[in-house]
Amino acid sequence: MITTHHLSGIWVVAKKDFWEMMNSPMAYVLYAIFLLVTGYFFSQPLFMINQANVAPFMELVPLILVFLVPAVTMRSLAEEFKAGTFEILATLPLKTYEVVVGKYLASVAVVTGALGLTVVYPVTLEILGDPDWGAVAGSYIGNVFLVAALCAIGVFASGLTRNQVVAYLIAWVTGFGFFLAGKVIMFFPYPLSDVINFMGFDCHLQNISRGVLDSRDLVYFLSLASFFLVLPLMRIEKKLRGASIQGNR
Amino acid sequence: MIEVRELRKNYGDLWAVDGVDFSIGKGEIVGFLGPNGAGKTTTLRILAGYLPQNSGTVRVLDLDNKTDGLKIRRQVGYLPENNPLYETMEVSEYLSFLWAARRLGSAQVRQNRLKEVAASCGLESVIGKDIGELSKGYRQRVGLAGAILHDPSVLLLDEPTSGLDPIQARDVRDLIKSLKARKTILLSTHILPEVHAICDRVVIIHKGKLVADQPLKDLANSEEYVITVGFAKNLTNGEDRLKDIEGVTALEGPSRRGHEFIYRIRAQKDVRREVFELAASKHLPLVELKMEEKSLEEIFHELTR
Repeated sequence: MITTHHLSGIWVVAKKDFWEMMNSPMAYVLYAIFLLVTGYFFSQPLFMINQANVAPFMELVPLILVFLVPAVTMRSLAEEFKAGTFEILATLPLKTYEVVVGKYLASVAVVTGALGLTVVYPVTLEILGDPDWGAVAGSYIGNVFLVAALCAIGVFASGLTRNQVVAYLIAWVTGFGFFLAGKVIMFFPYPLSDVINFMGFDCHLQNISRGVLDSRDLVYFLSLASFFLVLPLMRIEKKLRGASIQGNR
Repeated sequence: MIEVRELRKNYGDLWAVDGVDFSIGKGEIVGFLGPNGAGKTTTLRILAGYLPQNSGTVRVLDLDNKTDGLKIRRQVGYLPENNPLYETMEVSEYLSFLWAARRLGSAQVRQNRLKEVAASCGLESVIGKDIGELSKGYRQRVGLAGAILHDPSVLLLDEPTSGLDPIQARDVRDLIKSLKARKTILLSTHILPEVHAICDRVVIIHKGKLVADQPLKDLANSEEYVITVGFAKNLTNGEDRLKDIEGVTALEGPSRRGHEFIYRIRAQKDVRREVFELAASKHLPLVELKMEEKSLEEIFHELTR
């Protein structure tokens, strides 16, 4: 039997947060909304133009995620601040990074779960036609990396306030900014447009969904995630320990 | 076990704790008193590792909170003010979470310890219930159970009985008393009878500064004596006669209690003998003669004025 004794603080916090979310109606409402919206965009081309193609649905997933992820992450830290339970977490022998990363992984798991449910669409297509599984897999991998970045942005926003609505809005605006960046490059002169293009989600997602797993794209999403996780970490560490991050404190 | 030196902490312009010193030895139960906003919660939060101090040193179990915060948090039990809890968790889930976060041992050990703690905190009947559904008294017990789960040698309790009805409060007090002798406890409160019931010593702070730190019994001794005298009839010129006694500084009364007339004498020395002699020589029907122990309320009021 596996006991929690052997597992690190990250796992303990992640497990707690994951079950807290899954035990609340919120997660199921979000799952339902996510499936409803993605289902609409999946079935529309299928029935209207008889096309067995996941591309129209997959192209929309990032935009839906930009709206959905902040709803999952908004309670992450904000609710703990508001309910005062953060005082419990902070006075347990847990390191700050264990708390932040644990919370982050819990929300990644919840959102990835929603994404996982949509696998039913390409599977349906397999029955009806012949989808391009390479593109499908690429799209899913890309979206998981996108989720990783968006969740970090969400946890960062949640760590700024005790108000969940504010946390949602900050995360949404930030995420939407990155989403939009790749779509507005024509308004900027070269080389600024290239920089903005690289900053945005679009070009990286396009590469991955074409089936090209370029390490630069993966590094992009992971650096974005790390950057937005380090911010709440520093903020909390300063609040609790009065200094910047210092190993074992 | 706990040593606080020159502790300072500010929130903007306000110095919530302004140069506080005290130390607590092994096995002591110390009442930490002060009006609201005196700096009690801030001090406890610094001790528990929830806030950093601006200056001063804090040593808990001979560990410095600046360098060994994690070790301190491992060995200290803390009940925060207002007892925040995860409402959606069941009591057993919550305690298991704390168990896991403290990395205390295998599932078997956990089961046994959980049973033990649930029994000592009177939680058996609600162990499978959502914390959000519990009454305030039970919630407080859950908080305490969480604080003692790992059998810490130091316990920091921030207003453990606030908001409870008298019976719930007594239960919680009994629970704390049952921990006496085995643990060092710092208990913040502004309920004074609680201090009488539980503590050996009091540390009183006011506006962030220490105003008293002494054993409870020493606190009551002071320069002024208050004596209650009762007579069976109303005295003619009673006031003047009592005031003439040497050492008497003030006189209140008479107030009626049934058929008795009660005076309160404030004096610089114990004047009970003189009062008795006066009554005997003038054949005054003396029915009561008592030295009042100064109540903690009065002391508290004087110190925090």
